[in-house]
Amino acid sequence: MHTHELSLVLCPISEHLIAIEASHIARLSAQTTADTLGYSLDGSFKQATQGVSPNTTQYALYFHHLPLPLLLSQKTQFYSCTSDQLYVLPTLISHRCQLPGLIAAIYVKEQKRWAWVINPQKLA
Amino acid sequence: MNTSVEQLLSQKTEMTHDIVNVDQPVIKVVIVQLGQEHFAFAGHFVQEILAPLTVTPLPNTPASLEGIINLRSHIESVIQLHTLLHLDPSTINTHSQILIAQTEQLRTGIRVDRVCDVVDIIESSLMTPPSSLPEHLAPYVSALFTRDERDIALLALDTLLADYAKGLG
Repeated sequence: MHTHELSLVLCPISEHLIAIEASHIARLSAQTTADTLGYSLDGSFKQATQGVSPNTTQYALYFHHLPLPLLLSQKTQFYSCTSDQLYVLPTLISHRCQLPGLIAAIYVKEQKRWAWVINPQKLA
Repeated sequence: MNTSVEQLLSQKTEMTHDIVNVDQPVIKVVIVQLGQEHFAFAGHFVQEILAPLTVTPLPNTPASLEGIINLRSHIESVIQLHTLLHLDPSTINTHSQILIAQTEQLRTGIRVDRVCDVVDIIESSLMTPPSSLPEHLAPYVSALFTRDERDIALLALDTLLADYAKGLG
């Protein structure tokens, strides 16, 4: 099987790492205000819309074709890797994991840790 | 009294005959400890008993879903059946192990507190579970057998995993 190049954006959330295909992403903004609404994967990882506290640095990751951004408390980073780092998740995970849009896992060699690949279109 | 080699060999042959002459159908079972209880899984559901591996937790999963392991470049889930069986959660220690279970529909790693034995059980010695079984166990116990003076429940792993996938436990 051919190895393909993948361009991802890694988003640290709590102790986990979320990965999103870069092609989905329109821009990352640090200019969030208390009025900014967005999807949140923090804490309970439940989809939510909420105001952002002006006292904390927050980032908003905007996607193509989605009205609201994903709200993050840490900066994202671009990550290029190959498809041999991409893994299909077992059926039971898709049955029991409530992370919205979870589609696969990717092993980030440089950090020696797993990132959970989500499809942001399923956030809405 | 001296016993000749021939006599000893004869005795051993008779003993072997005692074992081999059982030509009744047998079922291989893996006896495990979950919490303080002993249970068994039918051997045909258990593909592997793994050496200790690091389990990576996933976000937003129930406590019974420990996470994933990378097993020879395949990702396997690791679950605990303790909640589904109303047992105390597993305390991971040097005895705890992960079994790879495969049913018709699902495949997963299962955390057990100890693998006690892998044995052949004569099918005719399997007993129908009594109606007095606790309600939470009744759907999952397919038979009982006695081993070392202990009653052991043979778990219906296919039913257990199907219910787990549905969100129970």
